[in-house]
Amino acid sequence: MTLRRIVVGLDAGPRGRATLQAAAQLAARMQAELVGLFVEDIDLLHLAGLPFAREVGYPSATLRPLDVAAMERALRAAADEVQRMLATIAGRGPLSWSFRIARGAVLSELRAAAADGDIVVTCAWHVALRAPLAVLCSTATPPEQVVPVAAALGRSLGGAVEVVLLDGEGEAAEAWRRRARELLAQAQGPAQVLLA
Amino acid sequence: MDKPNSAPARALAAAELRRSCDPAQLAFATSDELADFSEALGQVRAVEAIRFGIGMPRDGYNLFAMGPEGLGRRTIVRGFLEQAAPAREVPPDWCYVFNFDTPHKPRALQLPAGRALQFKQSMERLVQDLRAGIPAAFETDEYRRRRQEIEAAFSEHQEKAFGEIGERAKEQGIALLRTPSGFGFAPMRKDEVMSPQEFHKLPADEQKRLEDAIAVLQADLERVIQEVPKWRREAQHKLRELNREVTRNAAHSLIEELKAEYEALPDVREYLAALEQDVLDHAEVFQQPKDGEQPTLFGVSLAHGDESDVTFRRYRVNVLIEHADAKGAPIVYEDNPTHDNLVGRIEHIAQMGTLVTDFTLIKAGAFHRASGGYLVLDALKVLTQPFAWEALKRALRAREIRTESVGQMLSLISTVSLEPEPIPLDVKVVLVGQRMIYYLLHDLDPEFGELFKVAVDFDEDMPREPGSDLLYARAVATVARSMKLRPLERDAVARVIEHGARAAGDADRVSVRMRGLADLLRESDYWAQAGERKLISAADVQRAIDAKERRSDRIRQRLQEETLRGRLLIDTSGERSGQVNGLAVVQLGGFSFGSPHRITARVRLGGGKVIDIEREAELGGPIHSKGVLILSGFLAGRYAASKPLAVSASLVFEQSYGGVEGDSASSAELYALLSALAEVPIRQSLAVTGSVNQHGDVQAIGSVNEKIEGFFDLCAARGLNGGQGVLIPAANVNNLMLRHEVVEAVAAGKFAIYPVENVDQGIEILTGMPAGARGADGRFATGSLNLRVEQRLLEYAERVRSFGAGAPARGGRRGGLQR
Repeated sequence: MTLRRIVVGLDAGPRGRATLQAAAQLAARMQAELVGLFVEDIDLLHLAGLPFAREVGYPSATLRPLDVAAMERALRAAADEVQRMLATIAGRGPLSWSFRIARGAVLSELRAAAADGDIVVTCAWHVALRAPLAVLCSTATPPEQVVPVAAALGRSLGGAVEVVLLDGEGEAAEAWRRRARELLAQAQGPAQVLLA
Repeated sequence: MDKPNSAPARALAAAELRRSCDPAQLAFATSDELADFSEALGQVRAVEAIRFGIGMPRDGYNLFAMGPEGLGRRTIVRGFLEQAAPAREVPPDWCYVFNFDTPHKPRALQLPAGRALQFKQSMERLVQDLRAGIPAAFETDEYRRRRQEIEAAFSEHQEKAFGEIGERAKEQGIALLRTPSGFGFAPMRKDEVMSPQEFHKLPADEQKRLEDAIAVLQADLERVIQEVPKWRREAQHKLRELNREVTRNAAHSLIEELKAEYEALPDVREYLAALEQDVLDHAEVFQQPKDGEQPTLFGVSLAHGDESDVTFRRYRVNVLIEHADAKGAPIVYEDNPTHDNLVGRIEHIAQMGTLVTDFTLIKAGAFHRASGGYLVLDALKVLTQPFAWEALKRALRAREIRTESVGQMLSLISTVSLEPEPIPLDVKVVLVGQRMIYYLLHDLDPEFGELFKVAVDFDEDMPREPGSDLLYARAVATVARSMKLRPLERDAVARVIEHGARAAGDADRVSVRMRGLADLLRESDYWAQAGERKLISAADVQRAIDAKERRSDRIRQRLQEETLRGRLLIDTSGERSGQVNGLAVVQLGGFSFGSPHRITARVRLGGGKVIDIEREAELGGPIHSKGVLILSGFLAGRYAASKPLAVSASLVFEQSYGGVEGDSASSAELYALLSALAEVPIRQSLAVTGSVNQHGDVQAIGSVNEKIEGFFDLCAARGLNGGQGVLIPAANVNNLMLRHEVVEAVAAGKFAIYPVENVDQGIEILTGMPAGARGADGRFATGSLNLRVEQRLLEYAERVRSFGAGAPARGGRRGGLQR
């Protein structure tokens, strides 16, 4: 059973770009489709809609007012930027790819993408709590597909990868985790994979 | 007053025409028997000066070896330098190294003789060891762990601060959100951010509470973010310290080892200490670029040539001058003393279209090589090379070598270049040049006398005293041996000595021009070889002399041919008044020969002026003109002391189409003039040379031998008739060193040489008429030539007086008309 799709939660920062590159290489190697997903964070739009909305710049530490229109523009610009980035990186090799924008809570949208039986790779801080990179999946995706992807990403990015199982409770989840641990034990190479 | 008329001149005997070298007084069979003569022949004054100059240790006692070319000045000076040099200390080695404080001013390091190369190798080894040791130290688990600790501490610090604020916010129902360019706080409802609509539904005091709480959190967050750069700096500082510590651990022992090796050299130790600091400051260059990666700009390698890494050039040692195998002080002869060849130069390498340089490209000059010893330079070459003379004086004055380009010296270029630390200069300079250069420099350059206090004046010849012929013979033997020539027979040596006297132009002196001697010996050896002889014979020497003359005498031969064909009018028989044979010397390409010239004089009534046609035509030089003007003085003084000199005379060198210079023909001109005035013919079988003064004394001239031989050759070609001869100044008799043919002709009574002390002796020989002295009555003797001249001049004066007597009458008439 081969992997059909790898969904990448896109981010314009340097870590996001590295994640995308690693995922694109992996997808090309596995002959899977690469789907770039940009989530327009609804929380940010809510924040911008508040009457006293402010943003503390980092690293400038200056306090700036926020409004919805400006936030919308910023999110659109970010979406454009990541789309270009995706086109550039994915266009380098023989790779089938697509781009999608979703609006909502980041975690929910990524979970929703993973619930379809796909593997979601993201460096979003909402998800990757214990490691710089997280792989989201459900028990519907067998560990035989997930573990090699996580290990390969870890090796290629030189850091730990956290595997987040969406339906984490119950018998099926336990069985999935056991199998994943077995696979990890057999896996070769220095990759550090954390099971959540 | 004129001197009284002296006794008639007698012709010289054959023995007086040449001072032969008697082979019998040379007590050897061949020159091989003679011991070497290592001293400088006939250069007592020069040798004293050289000894003094070399021995004098004070500043400014540099030497100027002066004299004409071919004396062997360089060889003699070098000989003395080679004697003095081994006794002196070998000078220290010098290196240029990188200056870590001011990189554009490379440091000069002094090392004991012979240790510079060793130091260079030590430094190369050190850099290799550092390049291996430092990266290894950075690859240890210990370093990795400590580095991770520092990085982790920084991230932890940051995350903890943000986390605390996030926690505090959460407690108050507020979320900390990441916005595209920073952070924001928004009120929460359950686990989600509250939408604006929900917020507006909240009670007003709740809204107010949230807004106030968010304002406080924002202020706290601002403070935290402001702290972050400081934490990062601290982390970076710790990391740098860690890097330094690791580098120090790896480098210190290596450098200390080297310091111990150079314990006695504080400058080297100081340099190594600076190097250690530099290594600590630039630890990263020892780790990168990694193998195979070269620094590039737009894809073009920045590496120097074969160098794999430009970074480590700064740790190199540029050995400027080293004396590993030297014994004693150096002697340097710089053949091409350009500015850069003297002071050294800073070379450049083309890189990316620009020229770059560094301390490794500083090259030593002659000063560097000669410091601590002797530097021999050709004065003319130094003076003709732009700025070389100034550079020489500056270095001697400052006693240091400052390596800079001419452009820098003149402030013509302002691009960044190197200013190497000057190197102390302790050198004895010997300039070799013509005397004229020495005198000109003394006159025109005030610094010259200060810097070149020792004049080494070489003589061209030396006296032929008892015993000197034997010394000369030893010098001949030494030169022949040094050039690996055949030994000379005794007669051949005698012939060489005679030739030396002839070259000196003086029977009592002998030339010490060693180049001429060496040439003669080489050429004699050639003829001996051609004749398959084991020894050089007198005939070989004579053949060498004749062949050399033959090679150069085309013009002499042509002139003689033209005379014999009657195209150049020179009589060697008969008589004619107002005409005499003068003798000139032609010098062409180192060969000189005598050539007869017809000199004529015409006289008429006039204003007391002797016209020099050569001068009027601008063919005569100033000394010739002076000689002619003296004639007017003589005529006026002797014949017209109390009456006007009412003669106008013109004098000319017939068929002379080039310039005439010198006063050696002035006596001939006077004889022509006296003959014209007295209307007494002159014997054309005689020729005349000698200058004359206002009293009528005949004075010495140069090249007497060539002049006599010039006339002799012409007479011999036409056939010697016994009446032919030459009048020479009596003062020149000692200079006679005539060819054997001339001596033989005189001995056979076919030719005569008359030494003449004054004009009266000369005119008597030329005219056969007594010159005549003034008697007690003040009148010249009857029938004498002088009387005829005086009467002629008196006649002219009378005629002028009679012309003058008519003049007032004309004036009177004019006056009458006025009345």
